[in-house]
Amino acid sequence: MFTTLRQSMTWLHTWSGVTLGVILIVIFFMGALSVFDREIDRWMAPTTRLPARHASISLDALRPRIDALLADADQWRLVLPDARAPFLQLGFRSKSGPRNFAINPASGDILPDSGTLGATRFFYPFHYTLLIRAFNIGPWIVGAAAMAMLVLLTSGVLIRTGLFANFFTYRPKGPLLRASQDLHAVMGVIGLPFFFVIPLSGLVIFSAVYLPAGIDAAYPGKANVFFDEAVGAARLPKSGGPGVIGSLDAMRSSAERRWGAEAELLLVTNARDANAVIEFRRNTKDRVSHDGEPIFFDRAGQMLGQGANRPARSTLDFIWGVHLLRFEHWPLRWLYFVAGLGGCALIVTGFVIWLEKRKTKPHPTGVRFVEALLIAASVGLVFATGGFFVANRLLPQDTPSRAQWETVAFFALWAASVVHAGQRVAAGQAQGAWREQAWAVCIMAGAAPVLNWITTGDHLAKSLAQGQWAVAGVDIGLLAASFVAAMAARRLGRAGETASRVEPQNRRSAQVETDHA
Amino acid sequence: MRPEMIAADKNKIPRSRRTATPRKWAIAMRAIAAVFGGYGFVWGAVACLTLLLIAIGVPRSESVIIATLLGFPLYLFILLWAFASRSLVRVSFALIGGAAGLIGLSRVLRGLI
Repeated sequence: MFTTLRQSMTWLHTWSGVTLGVILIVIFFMGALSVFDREIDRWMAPTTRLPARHASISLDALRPRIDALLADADQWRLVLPDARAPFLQLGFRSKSGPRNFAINPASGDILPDSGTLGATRFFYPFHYTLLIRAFNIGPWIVGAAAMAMLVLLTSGVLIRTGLFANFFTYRPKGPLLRASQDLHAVMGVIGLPFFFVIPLSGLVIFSAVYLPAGIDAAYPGKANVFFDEAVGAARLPKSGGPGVIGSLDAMRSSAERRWGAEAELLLVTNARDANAVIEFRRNTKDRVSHDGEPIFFDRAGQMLGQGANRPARSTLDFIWGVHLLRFEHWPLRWLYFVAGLGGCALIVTGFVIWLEKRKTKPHPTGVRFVEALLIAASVGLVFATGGFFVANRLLPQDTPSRAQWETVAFFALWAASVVHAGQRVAAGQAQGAWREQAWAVCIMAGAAPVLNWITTGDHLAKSLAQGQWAVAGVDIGLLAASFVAAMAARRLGRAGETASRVEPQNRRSAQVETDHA
Repeated sequence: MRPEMIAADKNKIPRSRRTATPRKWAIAMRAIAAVFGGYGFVWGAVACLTLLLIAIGVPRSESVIIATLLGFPLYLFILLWAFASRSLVRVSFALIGGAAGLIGLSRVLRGLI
């Protein structure tokens, strides 16, 4: 587009970043939280803070309870307990919509409704749908942002041919522009493999939505046949005659002998038919690949087949596994979390560079708009998330539609952050907006562990002593966030006193600068 | 990337040879050709590759997976190329024409297999 490749790539880097960067911050942040989704669930739903049980529980003993819940459901699934989620999760679709129940593996009792979406049903779907599910609009926006991330990384590397030299230059005490440039380069280089692999694998996971060209070509109008063939699923047609499913424990132990691993998931189709199919999938704690090696049984426990394990399919399962992080490896899990937050830092510093370069001139309206949006999308998002944790502990357990009220609290606080940032930036006090919202994060994130203590009695010393690592970890994370926010707010305060910033006197709406120094 | 491109810094190029910032409509055209034309091109390419793989005996579901996995890096390359290329006409023709051609070809191939 320009005379040189470098100019074109600079333009592309700048504008794909400015247009989709805000969404990328949200996706990276929600993804980082989803790394610890089960742990956050334990914190937010105190009734599920059960001791982890390693002894295998009998599925047949639970059958009467499950059957009573199922009523006439034709399909159901049961997620077996593990160390991170120490209870059974029964899910099925009834006439009134999807139903989910948590079952205590020790007693077989149904755990009371936790009244929260927690991380697995709020942060996690937020990460890949932005909670906009109509017409798949949210996933498509996320997909566009993921493509933009790949474009940003490639163009970023092409622009900065000195990038790898800059890696060794970090001047945090320098002016904001130079410090941001250094940090942007350092983060970009250290995290490059992660930042590239994560959006790419995310796109691959949703490829049936984003790019169903191959499915459409090879299986016109029959996408479900593709999914069955790809995993080597065994299916039986409905016979119409009634049938009762035999011993699930026998099927499970047969499957577990075959794998040499524990089962994680049980799926039943044609549940009330003579041709019921029972599918078991293994847990993938010990490997990256997401391949559950499904084994299929008929209702009498006769094996119908085992999932196919072809090369392309195995590659795909590996790519899924890299993104979904179902393997059990705590140092790596923390690394994913830190790298996810690093992604946020990478994009925020990118925005700061863009903004600082334009601040020497009178602020055009577009620049103010971007800065207000950036404040709300970064520090404002953390504030709203902190508010989600606080609302989770403040709302009485018997509030009707409690989970919805938590969501309302999140979006109300986020909207407040947008309004606040917009007003302060419009008044030429962007730094004040950053500082005040950082203090707000400090208060929210600091309040949440205290409220956890008051409402559940599980203070940090107690949860640590009892080995409740999930609860303790979330408390520590919240306190760390509170501390970091306070440090940032203090530093923003000092910088505000000393910096000789050019504040705009000229409100004339200058055109957004399209030149990019 | 050619070495002279790396060396070519904005300030080292004579002003007369520097391109001004492209006009807004030209940027919009290029973005549309890149994002939508490029997507159509990838769609057609993935469909054709899937069918060609099936034709040489790769199992159907495996063909779909292989072609789809290659589709994303291809799209990335197309997006970068569309903004790096100097000629808007060439970009538009290659992507929109290529998309129409490949999708058409995939329909023909589907009929043959």
